[in-house]
Amino acid sequence: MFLKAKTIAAAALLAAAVPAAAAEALLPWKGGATPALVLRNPAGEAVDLASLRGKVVLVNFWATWCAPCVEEMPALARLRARLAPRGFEVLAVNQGEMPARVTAFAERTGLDLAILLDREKSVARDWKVRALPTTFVVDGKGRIRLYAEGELDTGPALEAAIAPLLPRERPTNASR
Amino acid sequence: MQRRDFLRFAGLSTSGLLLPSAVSRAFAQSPTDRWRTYEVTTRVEVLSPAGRTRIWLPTPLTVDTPYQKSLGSSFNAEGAEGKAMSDPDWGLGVVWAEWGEGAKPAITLVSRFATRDVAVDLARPGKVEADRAELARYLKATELLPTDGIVKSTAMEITKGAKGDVEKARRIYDWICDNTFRNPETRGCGTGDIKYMLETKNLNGKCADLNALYVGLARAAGLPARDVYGIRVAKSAHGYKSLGAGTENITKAQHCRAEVFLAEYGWVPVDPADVRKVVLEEPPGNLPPGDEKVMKARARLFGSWEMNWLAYNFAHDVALPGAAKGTIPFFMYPQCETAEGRLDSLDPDNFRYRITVREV
Repeated sequence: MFLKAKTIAAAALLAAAVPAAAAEALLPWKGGATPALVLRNPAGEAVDLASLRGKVVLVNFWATWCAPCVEEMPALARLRARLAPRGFEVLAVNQGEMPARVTAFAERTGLDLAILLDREKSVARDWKVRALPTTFVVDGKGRIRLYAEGELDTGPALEAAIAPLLPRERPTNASR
Repeated sequence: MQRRDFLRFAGLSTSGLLLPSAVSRAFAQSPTDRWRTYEVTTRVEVLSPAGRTRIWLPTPLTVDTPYQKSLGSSFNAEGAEGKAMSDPDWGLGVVWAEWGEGAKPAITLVSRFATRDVAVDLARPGKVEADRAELARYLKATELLPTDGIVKSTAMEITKGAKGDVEKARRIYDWICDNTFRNPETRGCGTGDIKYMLETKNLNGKCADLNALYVGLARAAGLPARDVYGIRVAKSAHGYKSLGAGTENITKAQHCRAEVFLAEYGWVPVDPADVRKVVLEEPPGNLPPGDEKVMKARARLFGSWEMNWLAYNFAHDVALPGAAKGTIPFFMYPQCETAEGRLDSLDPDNFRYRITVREV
């Protein structure tokens, strides 16, 4: 019992001494042209990123087994709800998982996001994704402008980075 | 053709073999002398077939090694013609079958093999015959194992001033073990790319493939090295709960190890990934680097393997026969393609498959 307490104390000390990993801010993209993205959603409908021209699209690569992915998704759903009236969409590109598992996850979490199935991870390969989550922000002309590799900082800076790209202004409060 | 030689043909493809399901007649005799004999059964039933469906299953190594001998396999593809092929360059054996629209794809593969613990005495160098062509294969970069850029510079930094191959191999091993305790600079899950692991120093979660990293760094340092893809089949006799299979159900017990070729010793087994597993998962979990269990595992897993584990193959960038969706980086799980795409090999419940083992 004493040895166990000592081990736990040592582990806690180690954890306290090392700072937690930082979440990533969106950075300017310098990686070249936007690759194609045409994938089906769990209902079998094809979605083409190119058809969303005119809107800003946040493309997020994720998986249900990726803890930082799952943790940031509610914030992405809230962001989408807030910014959709100004021309914003989120595409959550699942990596290689079975439709049944992804559908169960979506139902369980109730997240209002467009989920696409990259079953062979071929789109991830085209977009040179090396880690999950990875996030890209594509402007209204279809050009990648921002990206982040790893867990995203979903604080106020996220919306602040995206807002200047949006095609429509924030609605003014006309009731005053 | 003798049953014991099933799937052990040098460089030839076989087709149309469908061995009887009377499994006891299919297998060669077990060797004696500290060998343990096992039988692993893989059963696949595709829950959502669509259009043309193909299933591929890995067999035990199709070449014998000091630690494993194949004793033969038999399979039964229901309503289809099962096929088998082997590629001895990679110790690779594949059993597969194809079904048309409207079928219920199901296949069972039963494999017998014997394993024996292996330990290389690094205090006793000897003369080893090296097959240059074989070693050249295990120095090349692969899709997930680049050997240039940050991999090369890290390997050079780790092995700078090392006197000889053994020291180089050990320094890489120690570097990986030491860096598994370090907090990553970013939270994210690698997708197998070792450059990502090195750039982000993201080694300590379960997502980082440390044995692939070992192989990549070793190759970049000029040491032939290879991943050995396989599955755990029995408990650890050394008492580690995290390093063995506790029950007959080994559906999720896949594990890849690594070997490095040292000129005076031949292929030497290593497993820094299991050192990290002890750190993370050996009760009570999250052990510090100085914990006795961690130190013992760290000492043992450079130069030896406990063989409570089955080796499938050494292959990378595998082109499965008849696959429509491209190569796979490695072959350690059942694989399946339907008209709707590739199934997720990491999701046995929805795929569906089950793997069991018994000692014979």
